[in-house]
Amino acid sequence: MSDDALRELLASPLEDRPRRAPEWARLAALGVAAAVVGFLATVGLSLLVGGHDADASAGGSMPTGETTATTVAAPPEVADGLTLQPAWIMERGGSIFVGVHLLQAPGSDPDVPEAAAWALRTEAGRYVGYLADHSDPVTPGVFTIEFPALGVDVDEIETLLVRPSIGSRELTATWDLDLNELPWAGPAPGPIIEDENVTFRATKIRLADNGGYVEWSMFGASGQRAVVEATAVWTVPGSDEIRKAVPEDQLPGVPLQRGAVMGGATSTGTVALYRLDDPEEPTFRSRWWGEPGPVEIEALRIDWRAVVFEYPEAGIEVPLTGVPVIEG
Amino acid sequence: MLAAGAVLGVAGALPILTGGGDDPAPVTGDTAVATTTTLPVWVSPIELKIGPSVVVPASLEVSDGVLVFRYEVHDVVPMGDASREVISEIGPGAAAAPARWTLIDTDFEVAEEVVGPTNRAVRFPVPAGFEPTADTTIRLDAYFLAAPVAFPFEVDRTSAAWYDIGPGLQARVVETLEQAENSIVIVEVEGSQALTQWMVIDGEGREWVSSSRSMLGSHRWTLDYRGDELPDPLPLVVRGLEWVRVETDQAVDVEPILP
Repeated sequence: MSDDALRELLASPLEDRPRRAPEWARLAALGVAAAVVGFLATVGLSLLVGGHDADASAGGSMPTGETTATTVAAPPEVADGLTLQPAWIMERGGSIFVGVHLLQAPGSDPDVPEAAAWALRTEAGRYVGYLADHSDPVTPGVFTIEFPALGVDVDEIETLLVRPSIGSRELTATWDLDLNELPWAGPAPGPIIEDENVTFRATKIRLADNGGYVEWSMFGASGQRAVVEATAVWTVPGSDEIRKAVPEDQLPGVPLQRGAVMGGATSTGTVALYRLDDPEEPTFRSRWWGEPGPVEIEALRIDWRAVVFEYPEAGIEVPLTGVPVIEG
Repeated sequence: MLAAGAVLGVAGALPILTGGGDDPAPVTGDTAVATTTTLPVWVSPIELKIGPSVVVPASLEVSDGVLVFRYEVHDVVPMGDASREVISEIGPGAAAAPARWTLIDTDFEVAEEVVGPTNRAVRFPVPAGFEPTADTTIRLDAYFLAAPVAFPFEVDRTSAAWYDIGPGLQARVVETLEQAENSIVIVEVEGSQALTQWMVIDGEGREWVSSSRSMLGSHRWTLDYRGDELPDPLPLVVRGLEWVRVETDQAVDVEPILP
């Protein structure tokens, strides 16, 4: 089967994208937003005039005919007006997954914490750091946090610790490689990026005319996590054509495709590179563009970008006692 | 719509401000204490909260021996830029949705499963002449909660065995086809269409250049491998949204939506 025939046979991921919602759904969303605004206005006014006493929940004797309200145990707040609630725990394939979601207080407009770091603590006081936090733009505010099982029994897990990032810094670097043919596979000519605190190294690297991948690890940055991006640009001999490969999440239409799960900030990871069919106006065809076999090239450049996130020492504790353990 | 929403928001806020939210239990005697649980209201005073979403009852309708209960689901979470882009294209979704409802009346009880997380109605078979009243109970027993995953798993090339890939989901390799420049791997997924429509089966690694669901309505995925040699076992990954089922016990206030 030729490549062209195969491309025709295989459906475009864009054809799989969810159907467009009708206009009423958009209006409904606006209505909900307006409802939240209305709610905020009403609650805010009441608070100003002292009409809502959040502490009036103590119970005890009450005069006949009166009631009191008992506030449900509040989940921990990770930002103003934003709480984090655990939903389920699952063990599968050597990993422990914890499902959590944010919940926005009515009428609030919270900032979403960026690139949080996560850990589990067992009843015996053992800590397990996370591998990734999976999210999907289709369902904002919902996360699946993945941890290595490392012999931990899910029944022993007591607490989820979350540390929203308190800051980040961006590091960039450029490699100019003297190559005359692709595919090229490492070793990497040195650290990807480094500063006085952290060094990023490519533990495995492969680049072909149709893209490639870089497996990376960060060293010397205890407690920090990063998101790494790479962009490769090259030309072919005797041509002015510029060819460019970008990370998968920069391909056209990717956020609309099912399975566009993001892994969050980590200490190791893989950047998958895809050759753009047109560097100026790329299309969905980029996912299949380029030649996997030998291609003569010149002037290969790789631009690196790492965003390093920093975290507070203390984490916010999210009790997991009573959270259902489901079968994976 | 905006004005109506604002009014709805104000109306939703009022029960909290007045100490309501749930109907207070009657109190008798000087020392009696009635305790109510006050939950915030996001969209409607009769909403049910499920995970990061709320269910707002919309209507009840009896026709031809079937009670149709319709509802809306709204997420109550903040959105990041990526979600704004997606939702501007596909419209608002919901990270949670009802999975099972029970209709309870004085002389019968019937439970019904919702087809999937995108459905917004449930149909109960009811006796002839049935009409819902304020004493009719509709109870939410369970809901679907979205679980974004990128779960790698390995499958023996030559085995047709099923592998667990998620709650209620299994996968197996049904065919591999090695060609001059690539290899094709066909993977079959066992699970309901409603629960699998937001997930992808793919190969793990850059050598897997594409993955496409069968256009013929089956649960088969065709994977295109462009590496040196097809590995054994096959490194595959399920990516996207799986749906976790969460048990709950919440009753709908049916009075405002009685026909």
